[in-house]
Amino acid sequence: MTTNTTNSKAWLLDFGNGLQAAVGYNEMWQILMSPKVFEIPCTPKYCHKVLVFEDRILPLLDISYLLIGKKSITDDVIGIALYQDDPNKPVNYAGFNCASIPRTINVSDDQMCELPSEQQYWETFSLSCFSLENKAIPIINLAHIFSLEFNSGIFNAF
Amino acid sequence: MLYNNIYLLLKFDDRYLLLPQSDIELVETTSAFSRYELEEVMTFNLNKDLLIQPNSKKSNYIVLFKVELAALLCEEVENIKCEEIDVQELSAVMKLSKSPVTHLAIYKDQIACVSNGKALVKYLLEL
Repeated sequence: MTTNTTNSKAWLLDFGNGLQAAVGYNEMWQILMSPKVFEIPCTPKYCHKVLVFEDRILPLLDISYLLIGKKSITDDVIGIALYQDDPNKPVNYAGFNCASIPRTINVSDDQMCELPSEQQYWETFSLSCFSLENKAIPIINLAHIFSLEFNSGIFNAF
Repeated sequence: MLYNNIYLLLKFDDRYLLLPQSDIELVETTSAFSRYELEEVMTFNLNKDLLIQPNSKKSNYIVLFKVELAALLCEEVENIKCEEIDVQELSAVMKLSKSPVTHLAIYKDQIACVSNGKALVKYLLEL
């Protein structure tokens, strides 16, 4: 009997402060180096900047601040991710602060694991988790992070 | 969705703010606005974070809103037709319930915040 194992490509993102996570290979659009960013008043501290990408104004999300309250050190590396709230709606784009250039990885079903208790801050934001180089790497639920449903909740308190 | 044909673009402390012209009662130079009128009107001088700052010598104009006897001081005022500027909705992840900013727009090499008279005055009165 043979076991069928599915392999998928993904992007491994490093948000600094020991935070790493992955998004699907098709969810990362581009990586920008030191783009011009703009601060927007009256916005949450974890997302108070925007950048202009192909004539679109994109939110720039600081995952580190969102999860553990520590700001990203720089805006030098910004990943442009895409997500869809609804299959019938157009794709949306958003930027992420990264501590280093994202890299592609291969992930197979047998790497799947539980989210460790010391990383429970990812629970709301992750679809699942896999093991890579002895670390648990959550897969980010992009549509949920950028949804109105999520953002009208407790995080409006920021 | 914004239905107004003309915006007023206000500039203060390196912040650009777009408001529907239909929400504005009048725009006048601060020198022409009489002392009597100023005492009747709640006048706000904002910094780029949309927080109150001490009155600036750079404030050349006073913009009076229709909804209340409230006004905003600013350095520059310009009319812009809506077709001349690309107004985009603020991402859900950036929305705060108390924020007066509803949309953003690319203006020259900057980002302008978009609001409306009712939302902005409500925000100002709660500062």
